[in-house]
Amino acid sequence: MTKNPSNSDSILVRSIGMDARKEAVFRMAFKMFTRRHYQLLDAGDTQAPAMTIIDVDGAEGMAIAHRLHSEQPEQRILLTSVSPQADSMFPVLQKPVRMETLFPALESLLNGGPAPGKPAGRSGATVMPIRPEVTIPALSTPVVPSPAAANPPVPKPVAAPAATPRPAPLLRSEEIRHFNPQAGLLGLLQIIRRDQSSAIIVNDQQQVILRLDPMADQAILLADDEHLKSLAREEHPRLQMRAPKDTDVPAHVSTRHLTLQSLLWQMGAWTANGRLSQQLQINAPVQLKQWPNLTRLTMLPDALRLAAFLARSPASPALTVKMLRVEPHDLFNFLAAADSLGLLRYNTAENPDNRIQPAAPNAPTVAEIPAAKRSFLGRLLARISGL
Amino acid sequence: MREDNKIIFTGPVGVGKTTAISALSDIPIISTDAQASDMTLNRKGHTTVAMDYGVLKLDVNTKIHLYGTPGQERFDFMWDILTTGGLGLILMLDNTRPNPKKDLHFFLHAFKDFIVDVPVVIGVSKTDVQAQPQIADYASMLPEVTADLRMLNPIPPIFEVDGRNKDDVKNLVMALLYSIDPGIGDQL
Repeated sequence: MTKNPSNSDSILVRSIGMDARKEAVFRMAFKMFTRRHYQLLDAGDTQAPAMTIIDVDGAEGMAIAHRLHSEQPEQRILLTSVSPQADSMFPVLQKPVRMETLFPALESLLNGGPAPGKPAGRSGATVMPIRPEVTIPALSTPVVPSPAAANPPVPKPVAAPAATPRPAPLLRSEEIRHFNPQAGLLGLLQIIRRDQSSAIIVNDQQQVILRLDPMADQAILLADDEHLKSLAREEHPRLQMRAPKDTDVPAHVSTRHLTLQSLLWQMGAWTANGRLSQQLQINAPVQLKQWPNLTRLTMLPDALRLAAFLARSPASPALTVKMLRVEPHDLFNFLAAADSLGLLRYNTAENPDNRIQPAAPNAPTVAEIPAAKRSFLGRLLARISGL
Repeated sequence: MREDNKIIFTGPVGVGKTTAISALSDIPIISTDAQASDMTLNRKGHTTVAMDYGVLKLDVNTKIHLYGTPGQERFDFMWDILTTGGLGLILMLDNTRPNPKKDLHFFLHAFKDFIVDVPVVIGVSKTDVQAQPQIADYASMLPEVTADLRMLNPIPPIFEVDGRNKDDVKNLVMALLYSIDPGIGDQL
């Protein structure tokens, strides 16, 4: 006689008709389910199972289930099949099996129904999803661990983000300063990237500042960051560009190596220095063609947010500041850096290929994020960033 | 069972999904490893035939479940289990594989119903071993690969990653969260 196990008992489950992979999936599902302790018996284990799960899509099909039922009428049986029979005498789960239906089905069997010999209904329709609607704990309610839950290490509750978002920075168009990305050191770098030919950049004393190989995406730096930053911010630095020679970088000189993309990205931000590119207008839309490779580029302030926002849909710099509440100088630096890598779309008469593209007609609409979920995501973000 | 949230890590065998989940999980990762099949034996001695499972806890009541799907392409038995109630999909690609574009196509299509509603982010690993294709090449592939798909974020983040580097993994997840809502950061 099969007994009804208590919640603390191991509930032994036998599988029939499954290969090792399917059994591994059930083992994992059982590990993840913590309300009860289900345990899948290994092949050859002679313990009496509380229930048996049979995959009836194999060669013997339903015959196995009927044979088991005739030999062990009290045995609880659950079937899995890609095409469940509507008149099956056993409860059947449609494959692929979902946790949402697997555990309610097992619970139902443990609680005595549906009994063998009685139709379970189409596709195990007696099984109800176990997963309730999305519930997110209220942020204002401090969570106090119960003594029983004190053993597992639980991180301190992540502080809820401020209920009120930070105010949108002021953006006065008359105070916006502009820069020319085609001038100065950044302009030279853009030419080298465009022409895809190796080059050296030297100062007015013929000292090598940079050696660049755009085909290999390589840059050799012979100046420190402060020097490069000061050069980037000069509109008319005394720099020249020429073809490289073997003797340009003596072996004893200390150098740094970067990808050309990393250098361009950094130089774009340094050159902007809080200014808006002359090629962009404060109220005209811009859009990202693709995300910058932000794991291998200097992480500028708010770069991930800005990339997510501008990849989603076109937006003007003014709207971006208003929607994301980012500091204008951070936005302008990001735009300059992205544009230095050719990642921005914006409408210009000179470059019709770079025009903003309309959204695809079948693109899913982005739903408004409920406040509770937004707060939850903010907490998760804080948790991740603090790891 | 209270509602929890899932982040799914998928990608071919040996790409670093298990390591990436380990970088985030508050618990020792639960893996169902078994002897690799003939298809994967030359890449890893053992591989994940079922799934990896880790947990990131926000507090005692709120968990983020981190699932790693099996790497073998033929093993899609219970992927549907994973994708109900998910926050998003992290697709990790191995740049040393013979045809990363095929992998990109396969995994995006395997989760085609999922990524209508949740964002996907793409991490490309082993670029230090094999530089091509570059990130820009993957971005160029996407329009063709996803022509028959509806994606919540048709321009997904594509980053070079090393699953052993926690910062890389963090940036992948943060990009995923911002792809859900770029506005969340203004409350930090």
